Amino acid sequence: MANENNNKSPYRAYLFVFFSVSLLILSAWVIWNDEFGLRPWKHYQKEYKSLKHDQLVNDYKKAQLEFHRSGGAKRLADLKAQLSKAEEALKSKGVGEKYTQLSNKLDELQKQASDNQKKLQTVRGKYLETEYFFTKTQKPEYKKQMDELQLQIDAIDKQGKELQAKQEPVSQSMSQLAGNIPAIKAEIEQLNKILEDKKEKIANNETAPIEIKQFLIKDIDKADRCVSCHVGIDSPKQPSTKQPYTKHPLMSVYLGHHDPGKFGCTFCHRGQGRATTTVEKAHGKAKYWDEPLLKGDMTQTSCLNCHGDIKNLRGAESITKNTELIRKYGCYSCHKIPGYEGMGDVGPELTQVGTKVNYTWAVDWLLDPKKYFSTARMPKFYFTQDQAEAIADYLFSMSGSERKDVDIAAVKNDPKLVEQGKVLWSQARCNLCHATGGRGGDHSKVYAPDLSKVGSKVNKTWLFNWIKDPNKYFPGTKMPRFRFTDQEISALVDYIANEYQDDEAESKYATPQTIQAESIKKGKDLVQQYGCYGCHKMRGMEMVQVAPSLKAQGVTFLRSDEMREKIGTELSSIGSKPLELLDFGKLKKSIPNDRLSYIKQKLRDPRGFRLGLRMPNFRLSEKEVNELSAVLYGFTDSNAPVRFMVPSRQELDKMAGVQGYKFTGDFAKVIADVKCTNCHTIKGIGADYAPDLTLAGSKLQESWIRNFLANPDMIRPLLQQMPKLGLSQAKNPVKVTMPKFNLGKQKVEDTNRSDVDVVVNYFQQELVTTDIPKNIPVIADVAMPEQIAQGKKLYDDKGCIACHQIGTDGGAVGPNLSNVGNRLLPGFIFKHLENSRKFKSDIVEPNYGFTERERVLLTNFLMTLKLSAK
Amino acid sequence: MNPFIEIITQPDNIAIVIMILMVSFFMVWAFQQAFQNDKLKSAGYAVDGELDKDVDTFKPLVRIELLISLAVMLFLTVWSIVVDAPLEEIANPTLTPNPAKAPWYFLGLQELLVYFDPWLAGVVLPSLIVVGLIAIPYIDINPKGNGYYTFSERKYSILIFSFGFFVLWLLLIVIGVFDRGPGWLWYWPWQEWDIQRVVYEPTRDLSNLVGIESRSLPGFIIGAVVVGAYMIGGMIWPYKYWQKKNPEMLQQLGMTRYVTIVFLFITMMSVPIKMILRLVFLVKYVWITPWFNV
Repeated sequence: MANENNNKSPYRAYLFVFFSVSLLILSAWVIWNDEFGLRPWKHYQKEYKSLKHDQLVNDYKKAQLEFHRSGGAKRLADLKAQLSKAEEALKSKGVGEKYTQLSNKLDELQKQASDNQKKLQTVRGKYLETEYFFTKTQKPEYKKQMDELQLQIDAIDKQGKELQAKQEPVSQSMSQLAGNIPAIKAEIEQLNKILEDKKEKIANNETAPIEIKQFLIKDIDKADRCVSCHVGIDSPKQPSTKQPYTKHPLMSVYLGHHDPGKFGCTFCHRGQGRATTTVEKAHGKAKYWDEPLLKGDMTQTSCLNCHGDIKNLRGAESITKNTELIRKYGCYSCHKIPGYEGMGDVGPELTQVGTKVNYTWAVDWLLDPKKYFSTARMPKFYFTQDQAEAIADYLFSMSGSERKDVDIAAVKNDPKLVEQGKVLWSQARCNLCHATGGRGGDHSKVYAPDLSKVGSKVNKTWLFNWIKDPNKYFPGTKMPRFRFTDQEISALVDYIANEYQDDEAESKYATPQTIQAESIKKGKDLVQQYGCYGCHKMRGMEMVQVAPSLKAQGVTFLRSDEMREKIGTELSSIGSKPLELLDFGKLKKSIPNDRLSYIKQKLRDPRGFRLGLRMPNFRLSEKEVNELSAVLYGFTDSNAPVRFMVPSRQELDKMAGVQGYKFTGDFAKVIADVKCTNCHTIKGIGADYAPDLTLAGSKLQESWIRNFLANPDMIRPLLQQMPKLGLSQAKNPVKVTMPKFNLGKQKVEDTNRSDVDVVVNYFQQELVTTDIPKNIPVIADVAMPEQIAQGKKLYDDKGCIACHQIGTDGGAVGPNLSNVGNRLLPGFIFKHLENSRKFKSDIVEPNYGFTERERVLLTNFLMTLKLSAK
Repeated sequence: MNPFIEIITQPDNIAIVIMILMVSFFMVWAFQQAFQNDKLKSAGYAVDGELDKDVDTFKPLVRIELLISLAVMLFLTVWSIVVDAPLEEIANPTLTPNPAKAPWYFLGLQELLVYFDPWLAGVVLPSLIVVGLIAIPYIDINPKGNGYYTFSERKYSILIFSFGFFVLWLLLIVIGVFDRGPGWLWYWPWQEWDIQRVVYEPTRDLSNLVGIESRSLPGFIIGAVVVGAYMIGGMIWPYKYWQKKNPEMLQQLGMTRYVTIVFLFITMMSVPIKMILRLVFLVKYVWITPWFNV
C-alpha cells in the first residue's frame, strides 16, 4: 500500500532545475555584491591610481624633456664614451689580467675579514654570558673563563686589524689601475638617478595595493576609513581637484597641526568613519546615525572640542566670528556654557530703572523691544499688555510707587545749549558706538543702544547723571566717562533731548498713577518665571526664592540654587546631546529629526515646539541662526583625550596658579573710567577695534602720545585702519577716529597727576619690551645726511612706495608714513624692519631680509619724515 | 508618509507583515478545506486523504522538504542582500530606549507584563506553554483528523488551539509591534508617538472595589478565595457538564488527562480574563501575596 502512495507523489524535477539555476545565479550575485557592490572604494582607489599614474607619467616626460634640454643627455653619452674608452684602456694594456688578480685577492681578504668579524661576535657573546653568570654567582671559575675569553677577543681583534691593513695596499693599487673609472661611473649613476626616481615612483604607484586604508586611534575609539576613498587627502600634489581625489584644503594648517594618524578624520568632520559600503553611510547621512558629516566652514565648529582660545587661531576664523554672537545675545545669562562663566551682565541693572525711563516706554519695550529700535538685542517674550504692565510695575516699585511719564510737550531745551551740545556730540564721537537714525554705531561689538528715539525714553535728570558718571548707575557698563564740565553735560543733554525724539511717543502717565500692590506681585512672579535676572541685575533677585504666590500655583521650578544654575538648559554638550533628549514636540514631522535642525529651529522659534516653553524669541536673521547654531553644535562632550587639549590662556594661568594680567595703580582707574579696552587690546585684554597697545611704550614717542590724547582727530587719520589687503574681510576701509575723551582736564585724586601723565607713565613703565632697543646702532663711517640719502634710495629701490604713502604719493595698503618720524621710536622701526610679524601676526608686509646696516639707513631716513604741527 | 505604511515597511517589521499574511492565508485555507470536508462527510462521501494509509518519509516528504528548504534559502539570501540588518543608533548605556521592545517573537510575552506579575508573565506562563505543547500528544486521544482537514471531528482541539495561538500568541505580538509606543502606551498605527504623553489611569486591586485594603489580611483572604474559586470551580464545572453531556468521553480521558487538560485550559483562559479585568475594570491584581501577585 505504501508504495502506491509513494508512486503517486510527483517528482517535480522542473522545480529542482529552477532552484538550482536560481541558486547559481544568486551565488554569482553574492560574489559580485561582496567584491564590488559593497566596496565602492575600490573603484575610487583605481580611479585615483590611474589619475596619479597620468600625473607621474607627465612629470616623467617633463623631466625627460628638461634632461635633454639642459644637456644632461649629451653629458651622459659623453660620460659613457669616456667610460668605455677607459675600460678599453684597462683591458688593452694587459693590466686587465693584473686587475682581475688584485680584485680576486681583495675579495679573499674581505672574506677573511668578515669571517673574523663573525668569530669576534661569537666570542664576545660568550664573554657577556660568562660575565652575567659571574655577576650572579660570583664563582671564581667564571672569572677565569672571562679572562681567557678576553685574551681570545684581543687576538681576534688584532688579526682583524692586520687583515684590514693588508687590504689597503691592494685596493690602492687597484684604483691606480682603474684610473677615473669609478668617478665616471658615479656621475653616470647620478645623472641616471634623476629619471630613475621618477620611473620608480610610477612603478610604485602601479604596485600599490587596492585595500581598505584606515586611521586607527585607540584612545578616542576611532577607526576612520575615510582615506579608503579620499586617497590623496594628504598628498601635496593632487592629481585631480575632483572629490574624492583632492587634497585637504589649507593642508599646512589643518593636517599640519593635526596629524591624521593621531586625530583621524571624524574627530573634526564627524560622519561615520567605519562605514565603507556607500557614500551616504560614510558621510553619516544614514538613519540612526546622529553625526552627519561636517563640511566647509561648518567643520570649524569642531575646533571648540579642544581649543580654549580660538581668537587669532588660524583656520578657525569663521567660528571665531560666530562665537561673538553668544557674547552679543548673552546666551550664557540663562544657559550654562563652559568658558563663558562670569562674563558680566548683558543688560543694565534695573533696580533704579524707575528713575530712568518713562513708564509707557518701559511697557512698550517689554512688549516688543525691536519696535523701539531694530537692532535691539533684548528678545521678545510675547507678554500680554497686562503682563508687561505688571513687570513694569514691579520694576518701578523698586524705586518709587507710581507709574509716571515725562510730559514731553512740557520739556524745554535751550537752543544755545543745543547748538553747543551738537559740537560736543561730534567731538566726543558718540556716533562711533551709538547709532542714530541708521548712521554710526560702527564699533558694533560694544552693542551700544541706538539713540534715535532716546529723548522719549529717558528723562533729562537721569541722562545728566548718566553722562556725568556712568559707572555709578551701571557698574560694569562699557560707556566711558567723558571729562565734560557740568555745563557741557547740560548742553549735551539738551541736544540729545531736542534732537532724538520719537514723534509717535505718547505720555499716558504724565499725571502719575499709584501702582497696585497686586500688580507688583504678579510682575515679580513673571520676572522669576522668565528669568529676567539672568541678564539684568535687580535688587531682591540676587538669590531667588520661589515667591509664595507662585508656590500657591504649584510652581516649583525655581529651586533655591537656580540663580547659580541658570534658568535655561545647560548647553555644554548640546552638540552631542542624544536625539531622544531633544523634544521636537509637534514639529516632529515637519522638520528633519537631527540635532542641527533642532538647534536651528529652536533659535528661529524657541516656543514653537510645544506649549509652556519659556525661552524668548531673539528674532535672529537666518544668517545669525546658521552662525549661532554652528557654535552651539560645537559644544560637545566629545571626550577628547587630554593630549588633544589646547587650554586657553586663562585656563593655563589658572592651572599654573598665575594671576591674569591686571592693570595697576592710577592707570587701572583711568581704564575703568575711559574704557580704553573697549577698542584697544592691552596685554591680551580688550577688543581688536583699534591698534594693540601692548608695546605702546616701546613704539610711540611721548610727545606724540600727549598730542594725540589731547587732540585725537588731528593726527588720527594717520592711523586709519587699513583693510588687511582685503584678504578675508571684504569691507571698505572705515574711517575711524578716536573719540575725544578730554583727558588731562582731571587730576587722578591720590597722586595729583593728570590722567594723560598717568597714561604716558604707564605706557613707558609697563607697556614696553626689552626686545625693542631704545637706540639703534650708529654707523660711524658715513655722515648722517649721506645715510638719509642712502635710506631714501633703499626706500625707493625696494618699492615701499607701492604700499606706503608719504605725502600724497604711494599706495594705501600699509600705514601712511608722512609723519612717522614724529610718531614712532627709531628702535621700533629698526626692529619692525627686521621681523614685522613679531608684532602683528597677520601683517602683510613682506620680509625683505634687510641687513642691519640697511635697517639703520632706512630707520634714519624714516625718522626724518615729520609733519610740522598745524 | 502615512505612519501606517511607514511602520509596515520598516525592515524590522517585514517579518511580522509576512507572518500576518501567511498565517491569515493558511488559516482561511485550512478552515475552508475543513468545512468543505465536513460537508462532504455529512453527505456520506469519503474525503481526500481520509482513507490513505501511511506515506513513507523518504522520498515523498524529504523531497518536499528539500524543495521548500531550497526556496527558503533562496528567499533568505535575496532578502539579506537587499535589506540591511535593521540596526538602530549606537547603544548608549546612560539612555534607555523608550519603548524598549523585545524581539518581535517575544512581544506577546512582553505584552503579558501589562497584565501580570512579572513572575507569572515571565516565568510561570511561558513554562506552562512549553509544558502544554509537550503534553499535547499524551492528552490528545482523538484519532480522527489524521491526513485530512476537518473541523467537526476535532471541534474543541481546533478552537482551543486557534484561540491560544492566533489570539493569545500572534495577536499579542501584533499588538506589541504595531500598537505599543513610548511608555508602553497604546497607539493606533496611524497615531503619532508622543514621548511626553501621560495617561492618567489609576489602577486598584480587586478587593479595593469593595473597599477593603488589598494588602491587609481581609484583602488577602478575598483574593485567595476568588483565585481558589476560579481554579477549583474551573475544574469541577466542566466535569459536571461533560458528565451530563458526554460521560463516555470523560471515561476515555481518565482523571489524570482531564485534570491536566482543564488546568492548562483554565490557566490559558485566565489571560483574557485578567486582560478584561485590567482594561475594563482597571484592576491591577486580584490577589496579593507576599511572594507573588495574581
